[in-house]
Amino acid sequence: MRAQHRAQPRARLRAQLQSKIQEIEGGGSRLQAGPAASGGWCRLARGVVHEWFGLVDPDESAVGGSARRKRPDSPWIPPLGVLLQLAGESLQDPSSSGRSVVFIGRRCWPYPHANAAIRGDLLRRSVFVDPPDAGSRLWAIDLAVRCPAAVVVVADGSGLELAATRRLQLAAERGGALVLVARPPEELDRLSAAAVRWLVRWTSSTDKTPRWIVELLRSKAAQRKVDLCASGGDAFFRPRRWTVEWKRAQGGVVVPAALRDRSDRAGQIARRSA
Amino acid sequence: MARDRPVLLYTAGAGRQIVARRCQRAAAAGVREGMTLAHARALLSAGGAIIRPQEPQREQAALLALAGWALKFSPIVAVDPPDGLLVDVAGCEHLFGGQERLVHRFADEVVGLGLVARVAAGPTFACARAVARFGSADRAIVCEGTETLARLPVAALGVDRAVVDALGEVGIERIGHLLKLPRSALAARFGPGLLRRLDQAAGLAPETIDPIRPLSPPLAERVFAGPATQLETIQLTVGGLLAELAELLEQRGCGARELELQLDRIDTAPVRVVIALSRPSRDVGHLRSLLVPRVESINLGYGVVRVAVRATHLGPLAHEQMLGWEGDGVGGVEGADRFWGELLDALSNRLGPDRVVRAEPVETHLPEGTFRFRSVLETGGPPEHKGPQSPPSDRPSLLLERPEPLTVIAMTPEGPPAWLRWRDLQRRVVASAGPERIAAEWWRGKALCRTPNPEPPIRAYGESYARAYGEFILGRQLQPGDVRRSQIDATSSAASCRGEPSSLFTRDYFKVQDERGRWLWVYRVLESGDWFIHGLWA
Repeated sequence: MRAQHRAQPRARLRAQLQSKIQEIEGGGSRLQAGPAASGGWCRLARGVVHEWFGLVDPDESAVGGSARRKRPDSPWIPPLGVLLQLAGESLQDPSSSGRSVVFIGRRCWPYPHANAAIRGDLLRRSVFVDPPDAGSRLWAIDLAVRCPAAVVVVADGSGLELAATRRLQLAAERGGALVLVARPPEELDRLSAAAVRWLVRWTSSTDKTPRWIVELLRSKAAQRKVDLCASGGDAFFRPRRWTVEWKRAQGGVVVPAALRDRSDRAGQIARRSA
Repeated sequence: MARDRPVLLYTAGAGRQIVARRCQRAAAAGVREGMTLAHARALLSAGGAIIRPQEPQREQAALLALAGWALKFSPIVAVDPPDGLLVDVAGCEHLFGGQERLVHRFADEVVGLGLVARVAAGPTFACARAVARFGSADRAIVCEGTETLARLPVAALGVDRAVVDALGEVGIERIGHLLKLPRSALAARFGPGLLRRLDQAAGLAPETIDPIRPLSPPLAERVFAGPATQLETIQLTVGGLLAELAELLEQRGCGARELELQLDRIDTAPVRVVIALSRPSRDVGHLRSLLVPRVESINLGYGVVRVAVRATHLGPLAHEQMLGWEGDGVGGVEGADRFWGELLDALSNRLGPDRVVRAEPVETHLPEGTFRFRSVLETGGPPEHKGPQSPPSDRPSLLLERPEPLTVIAMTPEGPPAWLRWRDLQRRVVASAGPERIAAEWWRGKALCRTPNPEPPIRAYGESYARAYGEFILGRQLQPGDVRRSQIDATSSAASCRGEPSSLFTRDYFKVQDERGRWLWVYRVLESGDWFIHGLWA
C-alpha cells in the first residue's frame, strides 16, 4: 500500500515533467506533423521554423569543415529545388485551400518557369518579396510568418542572429505556416532557436539527374516535426540522411526509385524482425 | 494594322447573321446595317475584315465611359443609346473660346481617342441630335433650328419607324413638310408623339435628359481651430477620420483601393500621402496601420490646420456579415483573403510596390522572358491564368539574373564543355545533356528585348584559362611559349557581347554536371561561340 501511495505522486510528477518538456520544446498539439500530400515524399510540421543550410559540396564537412572557411562574400546558392518541392506539396493539402506562398529575399526566388514551380498552381499562388536590406527582410519574414493566410514562407535567412531566430520561431508557432528559412552553410555554427535544421549537399549521379543529399541536423521533438516518408507510405525507415533527385517526369524532387525500394526492403526487414 | 481593315459587328437570329454595326471603311465598300453578313463579306471581297459578334453590354459600358470622359466639357452629360452623347454646354462655351471652338475641340479629342465622331451644337437637344445624325457636315453649329430642321428627313426627329413609314406613304419625307401641315391633323393621324418630338426640336416643348452622375470620392475631413503641431493629435485625428470614412464606404458597399491623406499646413504647401491596397478594404485597424506610420515622417511645419482622408480609388466589398462564417481560425477562404490582402498591403507600402510582385507567364522561347513580375497592387488577387505550359525540356530551379560568362574547354566545336570555370570554381564536366537550341522569335525586334546584357567577362581569365587549359590537355605546367589564345578564350568574348542584346542571338543550351555533382545550365552563343551560365539545378 505504501509503495502504491509513493508511485502515484511519482507518476503525476512524471506526467507533469513530460508536459513541461513538451511545452519547452515548443510542443503541444500545434506541433503535430502536417498531413502529407498524396504522393509526397516529405511532410514537415507547420508552426515551426525549418532552417535549410546549403548547398555544400559533397566532401565539405557540415560543421568546422571547408564550408566555414569560405569567404563571407562567396556566392551562396540555397537549395531551391527541395524548397520548391516542399512548398508545392504543402499547397496540395486540403487545409491549404485559399492560402498562399511567400518567397522573401531575391536569393530565394526560384525560376518561375522551373518544372517544380509550374506544377499545380504554386506559381499562381506565390508572391515574391524583395526587401532592400537585412532589417526589412527580417520584418517581412516575421510579418509573413504571422499571417494566417500564408501557408508556406520560403525566406532568405542569411545573417540571422539568435534573437531573430527566436522571434521567428515564436511567430511561426503563432502563425502556423510551414516556414522554410534558407541559410548559407557558413552559418551552421551560429546559435539558432529554430526547431529543425537541415543540410543539403550536392551529390553526383550517374543517370543525368540532379541529386542531393538531405541531412537532418537537429529536430526538437523530432517525431512530431519531421516525417520523411522514404517509402511513400508509413515511415518505418527513419534515417537522418536521405538522397533525393530531380525528376522531370514527376515535376519535382523525389526519392530515387532504387533507394525507395531499398528503404521499403529495410522496412520489411524491420517488420519481419519485430 | 487593324485600323486598315474594315470592322463589322453582327447579330445572329432567325438563322441569319445580320450586320449590326460597320465602320466607315466598310460603309465605303457598300456595307449597310441590316445587310446579311454573307452579303457584307462578298462586298468586302477579302478575308481581311474584322468580324465580331455584337456585344450590347460592352457597347453600353464603353458609351458610359465616354460620357465620363466628356465631363471635362460640361457637368451635364447624358448617353443617347446606342451610340450618342448629349452634352449640355450652356454656360460652358466661354471656357473653350466660344461654341465653335468647343465643337471643334470636342470632335478633335474624340478623334484622338481613335473614334469617328459627328458633332453638332444646336438650340435644343433634339435639334442637335437630328443634325448630328442626319446632317451633311461632320461638325455643325445650328443657330436657327427650324430652318435647318426643315431640310432633314422625318426620321431625324427620332420618332418610331412605323410613323416614318406612314408619313412616307403620303409623301411627307422632310421635316419641312410636317411644319406646313395643320397640327391638329398630325396629332389625329400619327399620334401625339410626333407633335411632341417636333415641338422639342423646335424648342416649343421641354426635353428632359438623364445625365450621368459621377460619385464624388468619399471624404472625411477635420478643420482645427488653430494649427496643430503635436504628432499624436494628427495621428488620433487620422484614426477618427478613417472610422468616418469606413462608414461612408460601408454605405456605398465598397472598400478603398487607394487612400489619400492630405495635411494642410499653415506655413507651406499641403502635403499628400497616398497608399495603395491590393484589394478593397474598409477595415479601420488595417488602414490605420498603413497610414499612421507614414504620418510620422511628415514635416508638420508650424502646424496643421486641416486633415482630410479621401478614398480616391474604390472597389466593391461585401458586407462584413457575409464574411468569416467558416470558423477554421482564418475565417474561410474570404477570411484568408482579407488577411492575405493586409499582408500584401503592409509589405507593399513599406518596401515599395515594385518589391512585392507576382510572376506572370509570357509566351516566349527565351528562358529569361518566360515570365514577368508585376506588382501585387496592379494585379490585385491571384491571377486567373492557370500557369504556363510545361516547357519542352527540363528547366533549372534557379535562373541567374544575368547570364555569367564561362571559360570553357570543349572537345568538339559544337559539343558540350569538358571543363569549365565559373567564378572561382574550376570543374571538370562529367556528364552532359543537350544541346537544346533556343532563339528569340523572329518577329521580336530589338526594342522588345528586355534581357540585360551579360556581364562582360573578366580579362584576367585569359591567362588563367590558358594555364588551366595546359594542365588539362597537356597534363603539365604551361611554359610561356605555350600560351595562346583560342576562339573560346573568354577575353575575346568581351567585345562581342558588350553592348549587344544577347537575346537576339541563338543559343545552344547544355545541362552539364561537374565533378562535384552540380548541375549547371550553360549555353553557347551560336554567332560568337561564347559560353555563359544561365542557371542551376540548386
